[in-house]
Amino acid sequence: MSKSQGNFFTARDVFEGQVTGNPVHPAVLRFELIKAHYRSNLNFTRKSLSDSAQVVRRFIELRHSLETRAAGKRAEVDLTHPVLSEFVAALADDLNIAGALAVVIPWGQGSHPDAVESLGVWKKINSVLSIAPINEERSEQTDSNADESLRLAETWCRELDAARARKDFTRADEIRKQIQDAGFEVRTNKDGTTIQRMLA
Amino acid sequence: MTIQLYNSLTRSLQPFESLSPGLVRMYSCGPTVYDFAHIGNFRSFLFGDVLRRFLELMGYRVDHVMNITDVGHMLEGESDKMSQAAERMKENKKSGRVPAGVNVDPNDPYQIAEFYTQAFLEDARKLGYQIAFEYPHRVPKATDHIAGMQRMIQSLLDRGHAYVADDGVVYFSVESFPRYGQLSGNTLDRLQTGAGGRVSEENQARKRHPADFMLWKPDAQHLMKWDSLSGLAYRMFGYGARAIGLRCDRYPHWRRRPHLSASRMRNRSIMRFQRPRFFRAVLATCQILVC
Repeated sequence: MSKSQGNFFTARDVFEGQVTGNPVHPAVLRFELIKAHYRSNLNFTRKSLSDSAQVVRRFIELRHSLETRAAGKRAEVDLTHPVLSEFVAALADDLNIAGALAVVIPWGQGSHPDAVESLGVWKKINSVLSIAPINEERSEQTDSNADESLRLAETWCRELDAARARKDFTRADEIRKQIQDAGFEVRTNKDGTTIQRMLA
Repeated sequence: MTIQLYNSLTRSLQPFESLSPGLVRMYSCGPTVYDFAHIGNFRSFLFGDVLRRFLELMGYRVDHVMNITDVGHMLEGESDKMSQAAERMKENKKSGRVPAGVNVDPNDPYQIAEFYTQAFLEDARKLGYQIAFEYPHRVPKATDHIAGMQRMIQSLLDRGHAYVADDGVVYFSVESFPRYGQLSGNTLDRLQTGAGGRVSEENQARKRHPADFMLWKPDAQHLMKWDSLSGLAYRMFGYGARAIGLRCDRYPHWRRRPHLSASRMRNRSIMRFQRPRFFRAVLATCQILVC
């Protein structure tokens, strides 16, 4: 990809969904652009972008969950913390970002018995990656089209739940696909179906 | 903990030590603002951002600066990039890529540059590029530093690192600087004349060495023009350096040079830009250059 060859994408094209068909959250694009080592080539693909979206989603959710549980309490965590010391050691080795992510991603997925301490760790990590806080509450709330699509998708969620209740799983799968195609992640558990707008 | 980074001068990993205790000075080549920035641009910017943020996590204070190249970045034989930008602005207005409410005169290069500067900053902030939040304090514009570039070119002339060809163009003399190309790896023995296809044979013939590159050139055709230095016996127009807009007054050898007053300037001239190859060496006081 290069400007001289004319096959480049502007950041705006990516944000607005003109590259992948789905709008892309800026934090996802940031993560996509920083996750490969700076001296290697980057392959920009839809699959890779969608993997990045998964990581960003988990980070945002981790932050929410830790903040809720920490209830405003803060702990000062320094770089001697085992997770941070490994994170920093990887980056100190010629900015080995893959090594750093190999520390951070499993840590994020693990259990966090001490939410206050974990939140302290999370903040230090995010001071470098900066992938969770940016424009997280997207302006979609103010966008009436987005509001409309959200309302519609929520109607489909209730239809999906109704289909599951009458054990019509074929129909339920159809509806799930329909919601996903409209740009939402779908999760169903015993309490019913919830959706979130896809980040990429 | 020791930080190891790849030093492009030595082509090897080396332990990083800051020149001043606790302080790292870092410079990033900024965008040329004649179009929206693409993701390849942002990959390079964000690499610098991650490096800076990491150094800050390690307890350093990072003095990070990035320029905005807001003058026509031109290549020989092509039209002025700012003219091209004007055409693109007209197209973008038609297609809606530039919102209808935006009031930019496509014939005014300063307005175009300002529009794309703001667009860049907006995208960069969304992407969490820290320095975009520090505009304009740490993000100087090239057009605000033309006089500094002229002083630097004058200084290079005075010291024999630049010369004036018979058509009035000022070239940097690569042979005057034995370490030329060491940072990029494009040393003189490895450079191939005219490989980029951007320089005419006629112009190549005027140079002392085929790899010499333009600093300043008389040209009446382009949109953005600056006064020349009257201390020179010929017209000059800038094939300046985007990197040089960076606080050149901070460098000690600039301070010793008297500032040229406006009354000593004459001759409308034009600014052009060249890749910042030699400024990487000039800007040696910056420890980290992300170009």
